[in-house]
Amino acid sequence: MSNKSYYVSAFSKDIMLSAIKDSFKKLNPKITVKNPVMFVVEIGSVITTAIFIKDLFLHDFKSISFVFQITVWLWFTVLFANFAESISEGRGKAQADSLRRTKTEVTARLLKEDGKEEKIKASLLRKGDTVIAETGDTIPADGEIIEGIASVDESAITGESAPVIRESGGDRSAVTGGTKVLSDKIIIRITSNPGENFIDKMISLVEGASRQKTPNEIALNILLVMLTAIFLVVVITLEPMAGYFHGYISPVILVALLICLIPTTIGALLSAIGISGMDRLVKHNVIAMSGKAVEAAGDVNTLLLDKTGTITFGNRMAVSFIPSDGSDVNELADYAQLSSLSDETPEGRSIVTLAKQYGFRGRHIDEKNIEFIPFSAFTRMSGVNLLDKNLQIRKGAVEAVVKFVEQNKGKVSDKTVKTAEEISKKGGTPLAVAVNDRMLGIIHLKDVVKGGIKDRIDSLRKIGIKTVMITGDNPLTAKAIADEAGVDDFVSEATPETKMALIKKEQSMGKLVAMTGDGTNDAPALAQADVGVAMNTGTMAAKEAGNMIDLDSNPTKLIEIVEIGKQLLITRGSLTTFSIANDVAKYFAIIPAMFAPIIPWLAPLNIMGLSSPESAILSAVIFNAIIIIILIPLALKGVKYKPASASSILTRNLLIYGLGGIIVPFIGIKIIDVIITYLHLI
Amino acid sequence: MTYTGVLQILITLATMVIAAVPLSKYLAHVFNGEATFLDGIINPVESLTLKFLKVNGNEETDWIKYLKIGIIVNFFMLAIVYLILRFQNFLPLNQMHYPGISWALDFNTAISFITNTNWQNYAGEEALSNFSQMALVFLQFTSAATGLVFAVAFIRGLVRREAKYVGNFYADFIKAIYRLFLPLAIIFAVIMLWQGVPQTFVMQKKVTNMTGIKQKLSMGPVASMVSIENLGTNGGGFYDANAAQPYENPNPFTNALTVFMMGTIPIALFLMYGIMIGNKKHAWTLFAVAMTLLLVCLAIVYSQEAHGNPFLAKLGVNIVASKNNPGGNMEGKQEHIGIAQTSLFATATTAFTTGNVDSAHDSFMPLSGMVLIAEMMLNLIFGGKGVGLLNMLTMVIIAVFIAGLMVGRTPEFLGKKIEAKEVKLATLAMFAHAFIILIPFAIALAVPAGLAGILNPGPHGLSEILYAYTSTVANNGSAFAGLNGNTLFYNISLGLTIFFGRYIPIICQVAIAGSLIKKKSIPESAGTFPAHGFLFYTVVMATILLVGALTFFPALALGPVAEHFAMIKGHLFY
Amino acid sequence: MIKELIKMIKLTVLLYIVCSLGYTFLIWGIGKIAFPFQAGGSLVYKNSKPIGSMLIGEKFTSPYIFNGRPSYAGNGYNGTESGGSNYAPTNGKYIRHEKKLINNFLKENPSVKKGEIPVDIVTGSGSGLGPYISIAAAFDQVPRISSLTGIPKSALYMLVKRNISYRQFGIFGTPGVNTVKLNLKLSLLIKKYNFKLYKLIFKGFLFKYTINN
Repeated sequence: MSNKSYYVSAFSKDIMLSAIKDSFKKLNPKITVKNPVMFVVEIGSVITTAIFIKDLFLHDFKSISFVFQITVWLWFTVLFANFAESISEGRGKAQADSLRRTKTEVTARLLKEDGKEEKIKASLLRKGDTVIAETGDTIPADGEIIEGIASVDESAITGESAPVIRESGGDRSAVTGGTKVLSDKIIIRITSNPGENFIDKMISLVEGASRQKTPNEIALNILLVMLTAIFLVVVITLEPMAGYFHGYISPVILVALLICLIPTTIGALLSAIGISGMDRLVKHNVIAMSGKAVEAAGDVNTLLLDKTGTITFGNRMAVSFIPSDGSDVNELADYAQLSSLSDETPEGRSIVTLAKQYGFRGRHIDEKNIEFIPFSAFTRMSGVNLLDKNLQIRKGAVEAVVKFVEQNKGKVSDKTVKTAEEISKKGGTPLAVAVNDRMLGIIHLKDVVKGGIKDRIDSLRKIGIKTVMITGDNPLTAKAIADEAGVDDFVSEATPETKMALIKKEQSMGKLVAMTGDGTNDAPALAQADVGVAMNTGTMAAKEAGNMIDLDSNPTKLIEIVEIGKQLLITRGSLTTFSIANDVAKYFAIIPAMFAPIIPWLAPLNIMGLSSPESAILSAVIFNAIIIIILIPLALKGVKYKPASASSILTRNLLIYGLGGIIVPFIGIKIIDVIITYLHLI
Repeated sequence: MTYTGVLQILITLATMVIAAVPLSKYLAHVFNGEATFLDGIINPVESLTLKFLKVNGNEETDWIKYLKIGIIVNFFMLAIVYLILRFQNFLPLNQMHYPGISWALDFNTAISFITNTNWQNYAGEEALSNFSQMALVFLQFTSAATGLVFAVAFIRGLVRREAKYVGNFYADFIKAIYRLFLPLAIIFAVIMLWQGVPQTFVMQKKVTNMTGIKQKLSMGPVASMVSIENLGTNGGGFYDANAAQPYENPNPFTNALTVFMMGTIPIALFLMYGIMIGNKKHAWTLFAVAMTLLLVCLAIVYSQEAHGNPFLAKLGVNIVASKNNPGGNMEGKQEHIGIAQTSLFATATTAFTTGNVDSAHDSFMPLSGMVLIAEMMLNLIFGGKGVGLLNMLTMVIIAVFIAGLMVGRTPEFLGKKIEAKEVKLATLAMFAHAFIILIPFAIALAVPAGLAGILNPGPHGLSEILYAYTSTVANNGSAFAGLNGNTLFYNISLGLTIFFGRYIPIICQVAIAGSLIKKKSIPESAGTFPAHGFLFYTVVMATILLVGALTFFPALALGPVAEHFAMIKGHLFY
Repeated sequence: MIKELIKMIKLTVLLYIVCSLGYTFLIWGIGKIAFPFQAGGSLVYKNSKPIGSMLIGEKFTSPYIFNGRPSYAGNGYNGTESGGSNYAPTNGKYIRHEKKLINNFLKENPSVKKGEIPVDIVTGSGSGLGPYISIAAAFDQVPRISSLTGIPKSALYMLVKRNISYRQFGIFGTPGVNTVKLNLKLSLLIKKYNFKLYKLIFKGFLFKYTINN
């Protein structure tokens, strides 16, 4: 998990202060009405406030302290809910601010059609304009490099300080407004209008300004509203029931009961959970274009993983030395290492590393006597000449090395050639090593699967997600890697079209598909997939097609995205369960208290032994308010999630939030009752 | 509680379950349009009927049309019966010259029977001609079939994928009657006849007993009514006292048989559902949920009734069961049938929402009374024809929704996503159920016309009204009969609660089917939590109990619970 | 739409004919042929006059015979007004009423100790028409009947025992005694032991009976 520069802690002083301020601002009914559960609480608070004021004016001081305290805590309930939302928004806002700071007014060097340069404000740039950027310039807007190559500092967006290379043509041609050219000169075609730049989009996304309710959130909201409606009916009917026993229940108590019963806990935290879910993605340097995408990530059934970069390192590595007849492994290893000393490619380094296993550690070679032969596309070999020993060591493509040996009047056995062919067939790459006229043998290079990827794929399988490896390799190579990585399926010799077809096929079976991509030819598939994660290094087309962008351009992150999506839903579900389960204890606190003067026989229901009817009701109301504050960190952080089967996750959450939700309020209300009795608040 | 008592209860229940298994297979065949052993006899009759109706049985409709036809047909049937009852004095088989019944009572009665409720504000033997009773029998067939075919439509909504049509109402309806209710009704009517239930067109017989005391005996075509009344979980008996009248339920065996008739089809429907959706384990899990609830309720009722009334014990009555003394709470119970069978009957009639009673529920102990009310509040312990299954599935949808979120996936049920629309409809059905019970109940408590009907003072009076509205909304029809329901206020208000209590949830539920049928089915994976097994059982059970308890706790606390605690304290109400 | 409505009306009428008329008459026919006794209400005849039904309890209030349970059907065992008391166990009026019933029972049957009163004999059945009383309630009445009729207790106990309806199939229900059956048998016993009394008790009945004959 990378904690990047602009990521802000939720509990910084600034955020806290502005959240508190916002909590009061949000008391505006126009805002509260969007959250029906809390709106009901607010109406309840207004009612009790009115009763308090009426009592005050009519000098009815019999229960005024009780009414006052209930009123205060009801207002607190609303404020706490507002606070939860504000604080989760606050973090996003702070992030947006830090992004905005990077977006200072830039001057663009507009390249006019006549080839002249003109300096204009970046905000005046339009789609299709062409600009120049040179060392030290800030790129004025999103665009595509049409000429040149440059190293660019993208830390403003990714938080990553290492510069990246951007060049015209191909999949690395996109540049983002707000990033800085560190070297060289590039000509850019602008691809977005002012205000629609990636950075603008990002600001509005992290700020949550364009946040829309997700399908599950809407469904959950309906459930909460209907539960609220049911409880409203329940509470309304209590008055006639009391009337039947020739009693009367004060409206303050009815309001208190209603507020305690309706799912205020989840109602208060619901939007905070949603916002902080997006936020967690930001923390992982992933920008989701909508909450819906995050939710879809939790539902994914099939993950399409690109082999290169996700499953394998993308570099071939030496895994074994196979000597030819007449030479032994040690000799082969020795020369292989010698030949690779100057080879700084990952392959070369891996050969040196492998040779070390045969005991060839650091060497001292007199530099005067050594001549390095660099690799060229023409010779397809590299190597060294040891001048003092008159040795020409060569390493390279088998055909090329064979030719080299034969030129030196050496002979190459059929067996060696066959070995090489077999390695190719298995998906590996054979490199031949020769010294002068002797063919020493073959180095087996292989795509190496990333460490730990197998475990992750296993854990995905545990949560019911099928992984499909996509590769352009031939079927044999693909199968070898697929087996090693433990993926469920693979597609070899894949083209963008086969990718697309696969997605459609899975979707027709009702499955949700996630994939990563960066190239322009990935764009249709990214758009088709339910979760399309575009790499930030990718083309603009890819970024626009996907519904998430990974700023780190790390395809492995798909797995984390899925987990975050799940965690978001789990947090909602668990807190809903907790909220509803809480009601049991609240009933046992309030119902006997409420009817104590009217139906004395109900006393045995006061199983918590609360000291008086007033303290019982007040305790329940206080608990109801305080639990919101207590659960804010959980809502922001999300419920703990470990990949496991649905059954074990459910069992765990049911025990903690279901059973816990029943037990906790019994204890909490009792403690609060003891405290307020001790303090003589009632 | 005695060993023999527990034993006869368990034997009765076990027999029902054993019989439900083959019945469920048969029903699945029937509604899947597969061959059954009765085809030879019924196929010709059925095709003749469809030809007469000019209906092509293979022409299916979407859920809206299916529902529309069902409800309009219900309306026509209601109209026929309303007219027969209203003008029974002009119709045959009215030896006693009973006048036509009043419009308010008729409104209440006709609605009550078309909705499978069979709430009776009239005393059958004192108000209805045999012709009228036979008209009610007609509704007992059709209301049961209506509930059943709606459940079948719902199941098809779950089974079919990316489809539109749920079935042909006429064909399903005819099948339900020809292939299920009519054959069974005939068989059981004959068994009941054999056991002593009368079947005659004589309405009254005057006899003079050996000590010279004259007695009037009411009779009629009772056997034919008793069988469909229970098989269709209608519950409206021929007599005011229903199965407490020995002519409807002459002995302990018929008592057990009546329970068997009430329960076997609802249990079979749960299992049929499993066969039709191709997931028997899921159905058996729901069966286990309902059976657990049934057994717990039964245990409470039986133990409370066997314990008896402490006030009578104080007066010198021996309420402890022994070899010669039944003990327990015998007020309103038949001696030979006994506490165990009566407890079973009462629990079953409220679980299967039949509403037939073999004892005076009003005289039950407070906590037993509470259990009976609670069973109807849940209305899903197997429940009535199809409706119980629908209510159970509604609850399952809510349970699956919350549990689905808790495992981190968009909730899905049998591979179909549960989204805003389904949640809306399911919670609407739940809300409607609560609203239609509680609001009229509160109104009755607040107006003199409502309070006027109460017989028993104190919390029990509140329970009487609560029972009435719960029973009508749950389309049960049993009563705390002390409440005088034959007043304008109760005839109208209970008639309305019956009507809305039946049709609003059914419309919501069939609409859920209409929404689900369009959806793709997502294959099950390790990420979906399985819709069977102990965990699923726990989730569904917890949802049912929590939702039920939270909605109805206050009402139950103020009625039966308060009465119970008062009784323990030795407090009597005047 | 009209076409559709016609289908619906046809369905309604057809099913009315099948389910109401056809079905009821079919069962009626089967009853007529196979179970005429039961179908007619299980009536007991004496000299071809119905004197009651084996299934329906009667108003046996005379102290000379076995009394049934209190009945709330009309003014007691009215076969056209089935119904229970519907009293709740916590109803004070009910308990007051029970006190009266209990005292009456104790007064009529002084041999029964307080605390030993069988619960069924002081409570009403659900329909008020149940013919059964418990074995204990029958035994408890033996001393009274014996002293009033002169029939030896042992003969009466034997009579009760012979007429016990045990659990059906050994399983279903609670043992009890059908008062209709028991009192029919008792009348024979009274006739045998005390003919004068027999005529006295059953006078009205015999009188009417003969007139009507």
